[in-house]
Amino acid sequence: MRLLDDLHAYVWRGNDNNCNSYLIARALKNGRHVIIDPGHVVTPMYRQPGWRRLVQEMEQDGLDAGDIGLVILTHAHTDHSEAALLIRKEHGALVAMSEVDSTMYARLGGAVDIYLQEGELLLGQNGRTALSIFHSPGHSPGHVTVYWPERKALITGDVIFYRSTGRVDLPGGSATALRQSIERLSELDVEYLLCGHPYGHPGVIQGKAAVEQNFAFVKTNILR
Amino acid sequence: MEEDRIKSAREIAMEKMASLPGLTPEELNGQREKEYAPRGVAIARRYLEGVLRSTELESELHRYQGKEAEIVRTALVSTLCEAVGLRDRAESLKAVDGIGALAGGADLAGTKQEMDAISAELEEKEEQQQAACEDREMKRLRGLGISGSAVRPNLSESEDWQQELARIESEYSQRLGDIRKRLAKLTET
Repeated sequence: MRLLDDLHAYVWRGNDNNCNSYLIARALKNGRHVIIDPGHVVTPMYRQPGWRRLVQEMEQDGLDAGDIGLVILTHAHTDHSEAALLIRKEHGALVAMSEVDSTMYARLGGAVDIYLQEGELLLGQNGRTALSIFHSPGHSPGHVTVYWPERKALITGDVIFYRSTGRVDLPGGSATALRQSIERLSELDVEYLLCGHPYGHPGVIQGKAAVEQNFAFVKTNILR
Repeated sequence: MEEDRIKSAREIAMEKMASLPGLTPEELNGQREKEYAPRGVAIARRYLEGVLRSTELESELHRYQGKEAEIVRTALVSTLCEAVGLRDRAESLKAVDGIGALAGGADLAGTKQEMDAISAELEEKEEQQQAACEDREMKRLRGLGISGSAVRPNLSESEDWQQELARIESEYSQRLGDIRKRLAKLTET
């Protein structure tokens, strides 16, 4: 689904657990794309074809999966990262994630080309697409979120969802860290809150007011 | 009787063994080596892991005699020499102490200093080369349209860095090899 000219959202509609994926089209040189959290190749319980479905939806948007040049992983959990192994192997894309979470990713057989740290990620000719990478721990120790100031889009991974937050009971999780991460992200100017899962809602929250309401709801009802 | 014609399994095995040709001296040596060399390796491992003290190495060797003792000793010394490296200082120094004990308490302070100097040199060289390699990787990423303060190349996935690392290591492995040879020679009886 095309959200903006160069920003696409692929909301997971299967029954099994898998993440939402987001794509910045033609962001790299030679017109290659950047995908954030490509998800499962095949979901673990019902064997639903996560990657094949994503490729088909990209094709409907006129995008070729073979043109993916960079995969950004918000964290290492397989429901976000599994397809990255395949994209790297088959399409020669680079994989970027935090060094902290790369240890877990390596246990899944994943190789990381770029360690992401808090700062600016410039893409394309003369860095025309400027993203901000935030270290947003809580769900996992090295979790990162991706903010695109020009588009006012925040890709949250598993930090915050529609009226909910990511789990903190998994290895390396921390409720205190998650609270701080959410507090910090809530201060950004966001029109598109792009969540990592479609829990009770597609997870694509549009409009500044709706985004602020979601942060307020989570802060009041979840992070109390 | 029927039983008279049935041979026991032991009898059959003995007959088969008797029909086999005897082992040559080389084969006998090989068999001995296979049996006793792992014992020397095990003594070295137990020492390096802190189970044995350096003063106990000789008494461990005294359990063996003749050719067997020679094989165990050679394997022990060789394993200790292999443990002398430039990456793990604590294990290297322990290995040197062990070799010193086997060489009648030889003073190896000079060797330790030499190893420390080589390690420091190697570390410095690696740091310099790593920085240079990181610059080259950043340049390559910029060429693909990826840059910024959030980006740090993972050099362990870089072929360029792996080649550089192998080159540096081979440069120092000769010097390390000389030290190992000298140490091994000290223990020759």
